[in-house]
Amino acid sequence: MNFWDHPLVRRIAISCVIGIAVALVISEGSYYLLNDGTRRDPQTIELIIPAGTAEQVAAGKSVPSLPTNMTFVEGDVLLVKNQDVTDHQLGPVWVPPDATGSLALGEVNRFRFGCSFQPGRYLGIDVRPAGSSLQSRLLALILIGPPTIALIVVYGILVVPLKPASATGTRPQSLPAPVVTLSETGAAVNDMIHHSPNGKTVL
Amino acid sequence: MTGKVIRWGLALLATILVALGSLGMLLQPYSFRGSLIDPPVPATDFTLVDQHHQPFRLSEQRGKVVVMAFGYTLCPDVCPATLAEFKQIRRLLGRQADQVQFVFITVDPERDTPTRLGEYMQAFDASFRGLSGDMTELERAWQGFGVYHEKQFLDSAAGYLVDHTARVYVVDVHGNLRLTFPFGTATQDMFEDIQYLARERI
Repeated sequence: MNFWDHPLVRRIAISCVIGIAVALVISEGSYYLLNDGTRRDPQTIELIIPAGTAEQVAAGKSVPSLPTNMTFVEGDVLLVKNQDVTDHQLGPVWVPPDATGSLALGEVNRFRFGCSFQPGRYLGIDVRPAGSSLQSRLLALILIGPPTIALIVVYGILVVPLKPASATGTRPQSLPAPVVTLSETGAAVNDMIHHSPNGKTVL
Repeated sequence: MTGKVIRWGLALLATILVALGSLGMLLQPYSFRGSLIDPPVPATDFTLVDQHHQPFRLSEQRGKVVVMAFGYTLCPDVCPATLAEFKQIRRLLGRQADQVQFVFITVDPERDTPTRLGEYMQAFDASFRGLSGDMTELERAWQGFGVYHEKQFLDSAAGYLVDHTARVYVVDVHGNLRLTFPFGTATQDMFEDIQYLARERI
């Protein structure tokens, strides 16, 4: 009998296919239902502080390109290029003059930092969970898949028990059918025959 | 026979996957938790005096990682918290602690005499160097690291408090300003970054 013809193997294989399909539907369905539109893959966000920014801020002018609250996702890298002649602080990133500073935003949180080029001197940073990374969706599939498969296999065995190989009408090829010749085993066969009182003979 | 082949095949596949995963993790570049200055810039050099009246020149510390904080001994909150973190990081570094110099630079030179700084450092770790000095050199250090400080006069015996930058600065073994940590960075994160930099050699 071929390995894949074994009823248990076939049942596990079918359960795997169903389990993965169910896990895929659950994980992707949850993702699309829960995604509020702000979730995305982590990326590098580059901000340039142009020359003369410090003077503008000192004069009470706002830097128009920068909002007072910024939203990032977990894993984003905030890259700040300071082209000004003085050092600047953008939230958690402090950058000396004519240098580049970066920070990997690793934790979901809300921060309120000092900011040297906001007239209010403060900057709000909101770090949200990254939503659509292939890695996290694969992880969801890995976490949901195996328990679902196991559940389907157990459920299937309970609802439709496996039939013994003989009951399926096929005999495993790995076990050759015994060949019995009456001349050699006549006595043994005779012992297995029961003669019933009504004259019928049964094995 | 077929089952045996499948079992061996699965075992081999699992081994290959584990090996590839481990290799991938090993080859992944280190990701700093602190705010990285990349490319690094030469740290502003200064010469100050420590609690033992010994001169401390930043450029002479090459070969060691220098971890710096700015503050003052009468600080009620940020400075004791930062120095307590330094103490914890030094303990976590174990043998590598010799490769790292923790430095505390005053923003209140009027009150922070070397003696006072010595007593303050002693309360945390005697190996920490508490620095003060003449105003020219202090100004150079403050300006070089973008340190903000402003006296806030109080109607109390304390006289005044000093609002100041609470950031921690890390100068690498080559004398370059490499990393900064905003106040509130987890001690473990700071330790891992400092430990990584302490492994570098000139």
